Amino acid sequence: MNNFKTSFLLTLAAFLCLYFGGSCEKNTFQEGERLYKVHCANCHMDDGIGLSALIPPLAGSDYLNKHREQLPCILRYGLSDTIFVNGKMYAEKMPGVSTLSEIHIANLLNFINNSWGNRNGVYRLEEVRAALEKCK
Amino acid sequence: MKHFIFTVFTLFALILACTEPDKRVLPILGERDLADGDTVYRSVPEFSFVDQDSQIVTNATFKGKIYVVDFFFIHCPTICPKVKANGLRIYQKYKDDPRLALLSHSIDVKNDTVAALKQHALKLGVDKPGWYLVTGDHDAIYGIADDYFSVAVVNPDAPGGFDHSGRLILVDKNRHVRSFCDGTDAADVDRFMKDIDILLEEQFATR
Repeated sequence: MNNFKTSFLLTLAAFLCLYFGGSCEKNTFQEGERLYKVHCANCHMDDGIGLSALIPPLAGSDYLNKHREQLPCILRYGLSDTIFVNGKMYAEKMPGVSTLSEIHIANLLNFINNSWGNRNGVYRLEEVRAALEKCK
Repeated sequence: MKHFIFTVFTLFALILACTEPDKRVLPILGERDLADGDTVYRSVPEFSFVDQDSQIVTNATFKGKIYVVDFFFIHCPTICPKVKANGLRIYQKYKDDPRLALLSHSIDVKNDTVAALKQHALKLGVDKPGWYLVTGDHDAIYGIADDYFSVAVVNPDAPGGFDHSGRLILVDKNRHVRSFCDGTDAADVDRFMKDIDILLEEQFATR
């Protein structure tokens, strides 16, 4: 009887996942998308393609994976180093957004790392917190 | 059945072929004066600035051309990159067409030196003449902004100010402002680019 109950619940759960899966996928990074539009899209553009040799792309950017640990600090404190993205050099300063909370940063990074074809996994809050400890 | 499809297709092609091209005439924008009973449209006054190649840019630079005007500064964290991205679309479409030029005025005369403007232009991808990034006297730049924008902005005292409006402005061969758009809005820029084609047709018709 218990077995039957469990398998019934599992099947139900599977159906619910299938049914709501599509819409959940879309809404996962809603808060990150909102923050992106406010803080990032003016320069990195709505589709993450950047601008010529001035502003690096985020879509398909190898920098995101290679510098995963530094990204939270960059969002909060900006970046003035010369960097290479997909083999191209970028030397313009990026301003940070000091008002971003840890949760904001996690949401933003999760949106950026999983949009426009990017599949770089998600940041957990602890990871963001630990990364921010290093750039105080 | 095949014949039917063919007929429908032909009809469609005919309808498309017979549709008139865009025959709108762009109005002359801006204030007008009455002189001896005639309407006189205000035009863009004399100016003289320096571009990214240290060349003097004046009204004479745009003689016999139509041109697109905007105002920006290099270290602009807000809307400028979007306006530049849309300006770049216009530049790329017309860079081999000597009838159209672009004129971007820096409003940060302290930091945007000729050398900085050159770097900016190169990084943006401006490798041909035709897009002038200019600097100059602070008052002259803000003054000419007033002249261009007095037609495009109903209320110049609006928060944010005209210099951050991100507008692109189209000027004809007679120094009259004929169209403008919000340079941050790709769809509005699409409409603006149609206006450019209409103006090119009007001013360079080989009739």
